[in-house]
Amino acid sequence: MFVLLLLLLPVVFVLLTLLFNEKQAKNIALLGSLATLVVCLYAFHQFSSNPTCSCFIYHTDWVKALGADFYIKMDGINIILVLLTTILVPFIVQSTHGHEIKNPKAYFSLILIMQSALLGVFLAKDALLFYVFWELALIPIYLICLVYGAEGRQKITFKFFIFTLFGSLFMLLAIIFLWLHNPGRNFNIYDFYTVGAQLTSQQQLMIFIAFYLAFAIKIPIFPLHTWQPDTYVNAPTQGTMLLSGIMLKMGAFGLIVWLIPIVPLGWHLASKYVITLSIISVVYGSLMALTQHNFKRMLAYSSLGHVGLIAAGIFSWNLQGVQGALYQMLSHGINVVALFFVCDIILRRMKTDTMQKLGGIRSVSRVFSVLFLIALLGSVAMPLTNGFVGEFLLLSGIFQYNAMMSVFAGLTVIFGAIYMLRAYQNMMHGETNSITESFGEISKNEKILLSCFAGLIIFFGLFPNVILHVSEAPVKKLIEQVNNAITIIKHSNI
Amino acid sequence: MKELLLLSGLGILSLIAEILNVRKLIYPMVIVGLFLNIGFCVYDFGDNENIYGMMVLDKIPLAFTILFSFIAILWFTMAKNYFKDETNLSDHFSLILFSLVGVFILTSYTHLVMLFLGIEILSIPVYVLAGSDKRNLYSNEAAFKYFLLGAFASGFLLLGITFVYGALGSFNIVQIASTAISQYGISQQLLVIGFLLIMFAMAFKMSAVPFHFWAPDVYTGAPTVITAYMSTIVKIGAVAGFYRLFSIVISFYNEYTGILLLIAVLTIVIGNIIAASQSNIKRLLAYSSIGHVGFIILGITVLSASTPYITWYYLLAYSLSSIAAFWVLFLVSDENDEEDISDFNGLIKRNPILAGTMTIALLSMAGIPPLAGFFAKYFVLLNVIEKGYILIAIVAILASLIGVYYYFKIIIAMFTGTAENKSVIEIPLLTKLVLILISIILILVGVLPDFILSLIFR
Repeated sequence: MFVLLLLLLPVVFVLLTLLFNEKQAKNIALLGSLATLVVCLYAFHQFSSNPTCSCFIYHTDWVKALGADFYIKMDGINIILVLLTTILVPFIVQSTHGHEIKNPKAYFSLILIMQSALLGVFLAKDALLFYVFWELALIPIYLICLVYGAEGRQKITFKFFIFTLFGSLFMLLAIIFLWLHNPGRNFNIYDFYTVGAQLTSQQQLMIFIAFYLAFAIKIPIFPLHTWQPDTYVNAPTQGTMLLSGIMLKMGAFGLIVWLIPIVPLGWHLASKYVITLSIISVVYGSLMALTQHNFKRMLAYSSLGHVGLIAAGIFSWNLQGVQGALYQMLSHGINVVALFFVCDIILRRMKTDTMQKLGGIRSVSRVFSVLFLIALLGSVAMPLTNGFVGEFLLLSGIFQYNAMMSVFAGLTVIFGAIYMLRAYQNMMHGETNSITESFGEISKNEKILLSCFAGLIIFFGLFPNVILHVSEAPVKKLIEQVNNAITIIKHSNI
Repeated sequence: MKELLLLSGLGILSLIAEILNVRKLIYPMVIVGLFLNIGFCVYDFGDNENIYGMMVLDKIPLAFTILFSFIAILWFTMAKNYFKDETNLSDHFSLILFSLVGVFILTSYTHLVMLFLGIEILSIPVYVLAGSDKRNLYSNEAAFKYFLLGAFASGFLLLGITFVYGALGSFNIVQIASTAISQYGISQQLLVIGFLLIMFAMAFKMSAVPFHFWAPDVYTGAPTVITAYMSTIVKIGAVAGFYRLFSIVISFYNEYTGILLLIAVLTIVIGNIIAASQSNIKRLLAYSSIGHVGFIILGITVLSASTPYITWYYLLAYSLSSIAAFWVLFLVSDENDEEDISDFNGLIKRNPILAGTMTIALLSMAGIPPLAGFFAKYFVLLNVIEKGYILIAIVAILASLIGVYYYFKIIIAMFTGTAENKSVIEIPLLTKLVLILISIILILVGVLPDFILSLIFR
């Protein structure tokens, strides 16, 4: 029942938010997200001692005519994404502290609905349920970007919407196809694993492509990324945080749980190409980030590079690669939200994020510069920060797949250090100029939030085993399952 | 039989109420009557009452009757405010009630003459109502166009029925089925042409491509409330009538499948593509409704055991969101205005409830989960793919992606447009509650499709 509680708590607080007055909206939303976090932490604690407890499963009939069930289950893989979501949402809500928001009731309700839908995506073990949550997550984020975004957002957000919807419709086709080949006529993921593995290589490849389109657009992977930078820049800060922190991980999560294990042979045939595309997006994202003048846009492109690396790690499909991907999803979520928060602080004060125009903020606010540096080091994968663990595992995973590819993928670390440190240098160091003079000390709320981020970055850098330990067994099992399926097919062909 | 008497009785009673000068009673009387009608249907469910060999009230007609009675309740609640200061309330209400009798006949006929009667009883009041805005030139044009083309289609229908009778010597659709199977080939050409003519006439009533040309003009010209009636209840009637005959015809004579598939795909594609270029919102909704009819025809064409449920569910989702959209349009557009998308600019600031309902209705029509429209489309596509028409499924999906484009044009206008000099829209409490109710039903129907279907069909 834990899992159901996790899913429903945000919805309950949405109703509460709508009942109380506008001033209270943020506090109720914060309370709701914190309550969810507490439940999640408790669940995490329980999980490490007793992972097979029935409290992590909720299973009931949903659409009997189709054999679709309301089946949610927490396991060692999705618990990490659930943890990420529940950790980030309170930060995202609190990051609005002290800012004027028109119609706060609607804003915070949308954020909480989004949280519930995201949790649903991660927890669902029924393909139709997964699809419904997947689409449901799109509506609140679309409205957040559309209503609260910057000038000229209509076209950009619409492009984003059409892109993602386009991809997911193909996923729907693939799900229907699998359902039709399932003798049990249900959408259970474990049945899909058996059904998918028995399809012919041609069919598997088709399903692989259909799923890949949906996930690659969401992640995004080159060349399907074109919606991403503009959407990030134009969305309100909280929207950007939700998109880059959590929503991107929906795609990567889908790759691990829904794509590769369902069509092992499809992965086997296509892995070369999809890894290459992922690595192109790593190099492309990093190079584009190098040429940007605006901090927010630079972060958007750097995010493209980072998630490209995650995707490449997943497609290499070995223990290090997938574990690293899971860990990096958590780290990247935290780091990128922290950096977008930093960007928001600067933008609100300076009204510009053009890096060349800024400078010398360090001498105005020491605390800010230190906390910023920690978030930044996490992002460039400095040892002892969370980014290091993830990227190291990812690169070693890719190396096992193909050494040459890991060389190109490794460029992200070098380029990352270059553009991030240059950005830091431009904005924080140097002489204080006429714009940055007025920067002032950052507020108490901002200090607390940034310190929490810094704490998380270092904590996860020092104790990666807290997370890796939980996901190791299920990841091993999945990898073995895929490898077995491929070996069987190879043998039967001979 | 009770339902038939009740509906006709309600129409006559509302005329009598006009004579006795108790107009205020008409609305409550109609609503109570329609609820009673739903009650009768629930009570009769499973009885399979046979009315003189002309109509059989098995489960499917009753389910359709429950659906259109419910939509009619919503429609009367909406139209109450329109007719308050406009012409004669009782005339209009009784015309609509009489046309409901036609819808009822269409859902349940077993005799081809009843099919013709049903279509005429349904259509003639609507011809009149389309022109009920007497001083408006477009309204007159709409009525005239609808009447001329409708009469033409009726001619086709009669000719078709005659041919079928000539070939098989029977009007009864069940007998037609059995005779056709046993005597297959005797007067084949007559039979083929006969059913083809009936099919074209029904396609005209459903506004399927290529018989759709009247729909946009008539929808735009007629008063908004009447357009709402045409795009919901008239559609339910036409589709139910089409389903009743052609579910039998296709099952013994599957050569029609190809033609129907072609009509369905053309209807989906052309409806959606033309809708995307419209700026008049009534025209846009007219073309979008053509697209939806295409989906429904597609669902009926790939016949399976679940087809009645799928068709019923699709009609429920479509007509609920359609009536909500027209209701909002009716409240938003001012009297002498052309209903343009720009009327919706900044609606969220003028009235959040209207904007919210419209958003949910449009999202449902676009087929975004977890709203009702998603499962409606999903069920259809599932059957289509199961029959092996994967290419058609892909075309249908791409066409509904175009649908997303134009529905979102309206949503974007509502949320981001600036409403210059436009005041806040005040709406009565009842309207507010009913609109919220429709939104909730749209979400519930989408989240729990099983529950709704088992509630009706048991």
